[in-house]
Amino acid sequence: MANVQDLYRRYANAIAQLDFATLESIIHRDFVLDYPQSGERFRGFASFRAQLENYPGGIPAAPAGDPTAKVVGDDDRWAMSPGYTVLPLAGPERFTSISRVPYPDGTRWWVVAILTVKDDQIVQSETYFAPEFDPPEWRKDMVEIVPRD
Amino acid sequence: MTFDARQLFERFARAISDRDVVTIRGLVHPDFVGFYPQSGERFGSDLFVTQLEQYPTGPREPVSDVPPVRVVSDDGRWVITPAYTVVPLVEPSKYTAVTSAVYPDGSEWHIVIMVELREGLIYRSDSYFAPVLPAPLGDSMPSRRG
Repeated sequence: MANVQDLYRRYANAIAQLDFATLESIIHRDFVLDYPQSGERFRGFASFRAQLENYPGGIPAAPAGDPTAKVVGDDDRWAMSPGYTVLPLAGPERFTSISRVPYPDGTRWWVVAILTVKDDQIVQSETYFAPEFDPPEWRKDMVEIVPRD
Repeated sequence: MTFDARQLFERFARAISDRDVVTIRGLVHPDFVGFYPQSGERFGSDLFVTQLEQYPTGPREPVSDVPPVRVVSDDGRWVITPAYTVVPLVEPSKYTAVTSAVYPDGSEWHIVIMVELREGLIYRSDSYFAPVLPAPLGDSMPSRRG
């Protein structure tokens, strides 16, 4: 099983750099990309590539090494056998990536993707786009505000 | 171990919808920290409850239908030992939960929550709120509305 941190890093960098050769090597032949917010579904690498190539203003992408980017659900997993030996488990089949990307209009959005891995490739992505917003007035004194930059 | 994370999250979602602070307090860890990365807001369990109690929608009746909660990474996991016995795996502690909500202004949002559990309770939650959007690419791209 592929290391998901490495797989995600290669996937994100290939998108940011429009490196379609690398991207195609990472994308499973049964790849499906869903945007639940708009109901769009892209099937296969060609469909995904067409979207990236035609994105108005250039594809928004997190800069390489973005400290806000992270992967959730990639913890090493293990099991205890009846003989009390610890057995490492294969990597997870699904994980969640989080990154923050700048758009051509200057806004920044959090991108949360639930990714499924099959045959060491990404076979499914369910991606959500969440805009930044200011803390609402009515509760801003109830919470701690963490600087976003 | 037969811990059911989905059931926990569904109870949590129902309690939030009903503003059932007693149940909420019973489901969150004493050291709970919630975070809204989009606005930078961070809060503990007391402020979380206060926030729910003071949410500016006015008095309302509890809704009968709470959107379903889908939990990612709660698959039953197992491993085959060298002796070919099947051993269940220790449950994961981190989950991604996906649900949706309709706000008082009628807008629909997807909510994706990264949850970390400790001692069977919600210990950390990072919540992302994603609005329903029109498909910007229309029919000009090889996609389809799902």
